[in-house]
Amino acid sequence: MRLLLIEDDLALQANLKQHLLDANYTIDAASDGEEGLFQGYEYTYDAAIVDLGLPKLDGIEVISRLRAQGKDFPILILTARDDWQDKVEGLDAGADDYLTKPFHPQELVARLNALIRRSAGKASPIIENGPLLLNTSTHDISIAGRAVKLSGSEYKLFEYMMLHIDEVKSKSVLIEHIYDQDFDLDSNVIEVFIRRLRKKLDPQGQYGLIETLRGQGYKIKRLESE
Amino acid sequence: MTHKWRLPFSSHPFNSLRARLIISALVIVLIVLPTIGLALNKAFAEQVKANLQAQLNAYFYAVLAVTEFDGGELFMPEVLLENQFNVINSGLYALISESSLLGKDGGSDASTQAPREGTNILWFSNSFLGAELDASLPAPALGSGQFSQVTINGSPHFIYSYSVRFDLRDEKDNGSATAVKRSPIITLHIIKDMQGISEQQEAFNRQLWLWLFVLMGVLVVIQLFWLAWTLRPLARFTKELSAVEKGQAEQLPQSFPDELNAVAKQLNALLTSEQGQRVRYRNALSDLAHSLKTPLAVVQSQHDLSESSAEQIRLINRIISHQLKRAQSAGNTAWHVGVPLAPITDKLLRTLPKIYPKINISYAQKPLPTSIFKGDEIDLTEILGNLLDNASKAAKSQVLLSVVDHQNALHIEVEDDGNGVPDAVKSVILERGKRADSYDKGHGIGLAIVRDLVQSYQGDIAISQSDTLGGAKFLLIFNK
Repeated sequence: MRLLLIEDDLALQANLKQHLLDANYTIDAASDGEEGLFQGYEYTYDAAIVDLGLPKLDGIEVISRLRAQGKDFPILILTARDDWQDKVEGLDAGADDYLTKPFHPQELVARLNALIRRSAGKASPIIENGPLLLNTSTHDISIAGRAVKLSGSEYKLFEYMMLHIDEVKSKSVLIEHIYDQDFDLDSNVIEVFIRRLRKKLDPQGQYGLIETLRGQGYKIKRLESE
Repeated sequence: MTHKWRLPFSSHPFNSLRARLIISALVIVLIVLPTIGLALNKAFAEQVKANLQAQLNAYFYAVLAVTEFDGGELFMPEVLLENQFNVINSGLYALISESSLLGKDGGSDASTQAPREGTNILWFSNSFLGAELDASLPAPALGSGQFSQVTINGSPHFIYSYSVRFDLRDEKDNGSATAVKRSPIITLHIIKDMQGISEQQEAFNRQLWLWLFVLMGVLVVIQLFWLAWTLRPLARFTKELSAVEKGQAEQLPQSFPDELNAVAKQLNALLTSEQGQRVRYRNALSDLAHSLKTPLAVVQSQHDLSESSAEQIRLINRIISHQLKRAQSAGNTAWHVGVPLAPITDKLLRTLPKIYPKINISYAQKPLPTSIFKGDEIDLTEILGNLLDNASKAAKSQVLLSVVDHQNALHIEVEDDGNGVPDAVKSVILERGKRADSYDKGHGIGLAIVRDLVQSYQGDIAISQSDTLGGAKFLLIFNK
């Protein structure tokens, strides 16, 4: 999952980045409103975290402009001003949730997970696809009751595809959602990860879980319950 | 702009400029004009009396001129020049009375005598024939006249009496020596009935009061028009001020007469400065919150933070939040510009479902477009945001908001289908003076802020069980 983090306090930004990386998110960080807006315009994110008190361009303005541009990824606002007027303005401008400073980093991660799930139309942290179960909170994965362990990058790819079951995602889209913008990657790396996922999740190929659509990309197929 | 005429005594009899002006106008019309009428009436009566006196005086000299004494005997002509003296009961009479026989011998000086009454009538004009004098005639001192009233045949008459004495010359045979003798003191009375005068005066009175009433009516109408014209800018001023109070306008227009324009200008300056100051104050507090809380967030986001440090951070955060909120509340300011309720509640009901997607947050009763909260928009948003947030947390599936605009009070109700408010929290919320930042984490801090804010607007808060949903019901009452 690729996140845009717009926070002007560099110490807080660094700490949050670390927590989010630990939670298997890919982070693009910006330290003022203009920079954040530019990144929001240019790249596709799974969610954004926007501080309201930003230099150059206020957080509410950033959110309004992103929404005006048709960017519909979920946005979580961070605010030191914890009065309802600010929360309501932020939510009305297009944000989906708020978190008042100071906050526990785990709470931020939990809220983000919930937001991303909700935006994918999933209310529960557990995504079920036939015999396949993914808990986006604990990152536990099992298929037909067998637990599966994935590496950080494999998990990111798998979670993103599980949130978009039956949707074809191109290699470039998948790279965008897994790696931050500075990470220069050969798109072959996706093929490597897909191969590994198939091997770990569906070693016998009995489910045909991940389909390759030539020239288009990959998709996780919706499986029938056993 | 149309001017609406209202009864001046609608609220308090004297507590309005209109009432005072109308009362003073009525005082002029109802007291001053009748007084002028009375004065004119009196002056006219005096004038009529003076004219009559002059007339009677003239008659007196005319009658005196034909009065003769010969040999101590009074001789009067049969017919007097003024015909009214000759016609019986004409209303004009002449009488001569002898008030005293003193002086007949010429030995005493009657001029020093005090006037006294005597009814010894020596002569009367033909017009007096058959008339009946109901009282004795006046007898003024010698050489002086007196006006008074007498009753003849039962009706009142004016009478002018003058006492005189004649010198009687007794010529000797040789014609050389003349002995002077004096006649007795006689009083000549000219009497005129009052009927003509009364009729004259009545006619005058009728005309006077008729025209005075007409004048009163005209004056009342003029005064009312004048009042309406003069007070129209004031009525418009009140209307514009009320629009500002209701949040329908931000400033007063500058299109009043000069005297009111000065007030409007000052009020606008006051409003601008008050609003600007509040915005600056809030921004400063907001910056302070940002500067204090971001470092706290940095500390809290550290990996190796101990639980005791985290707890201290939470405590500091609670205190900062609470004190900043208290500091920025506008509840205690003297004058509140009203804010329309509907946009605020609409916005809250539009945005809160984003945070609580599983809860149905809706209106049980929508505020009217005219419903106004007399206070600050940020404070109202804070009150309602906290109440709805609290209800959404407690609710199983539904939260209802009702805004009822009563004549004297604004009622806001938030109810949910949760388990209700625990008694412990209820008593804490309603306990006055309890500091909100001293609550345990997660227990009604938002509600304590609601309580503080509601109290700062002299509002009331009541917690009960919702009849409709079965959970908690918070009722806020703001008196108008």
